[in-house]
Amino acid sequence: MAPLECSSIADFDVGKTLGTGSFGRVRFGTHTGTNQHFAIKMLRKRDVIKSNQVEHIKSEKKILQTLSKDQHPFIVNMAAVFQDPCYIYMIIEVVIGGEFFSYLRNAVKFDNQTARFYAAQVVLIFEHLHSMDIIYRDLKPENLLLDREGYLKITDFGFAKIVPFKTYTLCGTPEYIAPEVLLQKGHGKGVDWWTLGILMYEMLVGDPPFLDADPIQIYQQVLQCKLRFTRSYDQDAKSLTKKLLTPDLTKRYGCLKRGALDIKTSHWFDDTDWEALLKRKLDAPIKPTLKSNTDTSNFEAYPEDVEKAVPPEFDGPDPFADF
Amino acid sequence: MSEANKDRDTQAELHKYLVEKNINELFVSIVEAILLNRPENPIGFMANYLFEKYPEKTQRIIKSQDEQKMQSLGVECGNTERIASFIESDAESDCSSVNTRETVLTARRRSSDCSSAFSRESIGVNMRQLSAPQVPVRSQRRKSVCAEKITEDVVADSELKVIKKTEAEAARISTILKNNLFLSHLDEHQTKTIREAMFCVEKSDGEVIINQGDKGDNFYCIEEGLVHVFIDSRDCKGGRNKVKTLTSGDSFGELALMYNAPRAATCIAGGEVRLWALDRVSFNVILMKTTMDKRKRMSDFLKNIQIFSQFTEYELLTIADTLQDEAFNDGAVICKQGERGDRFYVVHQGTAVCTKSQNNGTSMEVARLSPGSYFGEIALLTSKPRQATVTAAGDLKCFSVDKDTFDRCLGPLNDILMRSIPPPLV
Repeated sequence: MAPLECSSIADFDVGKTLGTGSFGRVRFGTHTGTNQHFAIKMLRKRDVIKSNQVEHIKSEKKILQTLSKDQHPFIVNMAAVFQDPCYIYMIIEVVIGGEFFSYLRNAVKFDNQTARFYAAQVVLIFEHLHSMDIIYRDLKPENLLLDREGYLKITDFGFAKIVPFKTYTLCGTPEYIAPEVLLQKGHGKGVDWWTLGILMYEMLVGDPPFLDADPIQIYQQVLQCKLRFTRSYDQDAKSLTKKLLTPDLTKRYGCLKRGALDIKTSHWFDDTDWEALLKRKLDAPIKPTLKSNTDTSNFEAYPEDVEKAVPPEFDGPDPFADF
Repeated sequence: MSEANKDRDTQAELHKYLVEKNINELFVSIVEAILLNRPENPIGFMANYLFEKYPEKTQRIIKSQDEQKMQSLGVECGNTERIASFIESDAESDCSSVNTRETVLTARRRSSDCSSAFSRESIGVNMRQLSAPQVPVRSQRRKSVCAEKITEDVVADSELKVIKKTEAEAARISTILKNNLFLSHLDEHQTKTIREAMFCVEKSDGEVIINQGDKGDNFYCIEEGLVHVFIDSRDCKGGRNKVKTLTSGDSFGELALMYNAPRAATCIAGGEVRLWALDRVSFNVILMKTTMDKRKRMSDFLKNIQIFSQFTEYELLTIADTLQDEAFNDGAVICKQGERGDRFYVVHQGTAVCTKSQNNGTSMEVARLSPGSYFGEIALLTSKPRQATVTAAGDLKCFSVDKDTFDRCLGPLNDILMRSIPPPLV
């Protein structure tokens, strides 16, 4: 996907909402000049400033720009970014198959092969990000999309950060937060491998291993780290899950000397052809049904936005002046 | 009162309710949104719509739901098959918590087993229990959480507060911190720094300490007095229910130390109460400062050790993270000459004495090791027997790492040392 020449939302036909977040929403959009289709991430500056997330949004932009140069097959690419008085717009590759989250919830859980197909792609994603010292920090089914062939694309780099060694800000999603993040003693690449363990479990069981309506109860479970597996949980998958959901960072797979290799050579992936997977030559277990390349029916219906955009309030210089 | 009057009163009451709660407008907006979008699954859409538009108000429903399910649905449905499928356990777990968890799992899965996430069944329950609608939790997208960023500059510049406390008070606070799952991992120095930073809060009978739904700022330890904990009741009438009473030695509000989340309960003083409080920013600054200092101190120690001199900064920090604290009492033998060694030590506090046995059977002191000195580094290379006996002279604190951990995290030390030797020319 080549960079796109555009500087205003007026260059787009803005369509259906594909997803929503704390600061805005993602809409389907067509660039009228080129008739190319995109996902337009629209962030309300006002809310970004209010929730102290300016730095995270700036970092998201920077990281997406860096990553888009490489065009990794399992990472969304960004074609352009611009702003107006009320919004930041990120023009992102549209991933038309829909949200991985919806597929998982509809299926309740995945069989072993299906789960492995997705987990393997996440391994390749993290291997790539970590090679650039980028940690992602917010893996969950909600942040994965399926493309037209049924391959994953990871999206939402709001918490991603360039971290050579350790960082300290607590962030993530309660069910997926690693113990060292909760204990606030600094965390690094290891947190991503922990979240892979949680994702594996959630795919194979249907629920994450640490679950409660009250976050503090989730965190207690995370720190106690008692894992219980269903009878149908594949033995090799189980042994890898345990290696990932290991609180001791000197033992957790992914953060040791061999890095991702410990995971890639674990028995669960014995039959995984990593090269073919990266080249997208394997048959995907779920293939989205699509009528056309503008068919957004695989996305759930979200209520459309009726709010009036309000410009942000800030003291001193515009925090987005250098955006 | 006549039948007609009664009816009229009821009518008026219902009307008043509709007006007060803006029900009309609510329904108009829902229908409007439906007509605009014409979704395939209007029920799911409406639920999404409400969650989207009223995140605050729907949050409580989600919270209340699990308890509701545990009390009614989960138990009533008795899905033994699901529970039985969780037979394999890797750890001894507390029975009651396991049961609770299964019920939550069961109840959650029940609502999603049907092809549509919003099954007719759950809507049926919804009709019957208007007070606590059963909206399936699992179809909800989980929100991310995030603390405010504290830069390393802020940490470096901040002065840590020291608030005076009596010895008894300090001891009590330390015990409370040690018993809190989220704080029990802190080392002695961190516990002390946090204890010193805690400030006193005094409340009189009936005063609110924290209010459900408010922003979370402080964590509290109770020094003296009673604190009643209430949770807002979920029925339409409002009001709140007392869930427990906390007393001296208890603590509450630890989520506030992690990030800014709305308070899950209201805490009210029962009589005069003295509390020790700590705010999130101070907590984070202390943790960052102490952790970074310790890491720095360790990597500085390591940098000066000959065999680590070729290591990159990243490798030094990695070793620093593998080091464990070990404490020895006076006279304790840390390693014995002739025995196989597998650990490397850095002296961090106190003194260690190295002795070697002589041919005549006596032993001779060969060195005294002070903080910053190290021993046993050969164990990281080979499993050769220890060359000397090392004994603690007085209380001794060391950092240590074993060969297996070192190899796992950094690879064999041999390989690292070989890097500095140029490859042969031929």
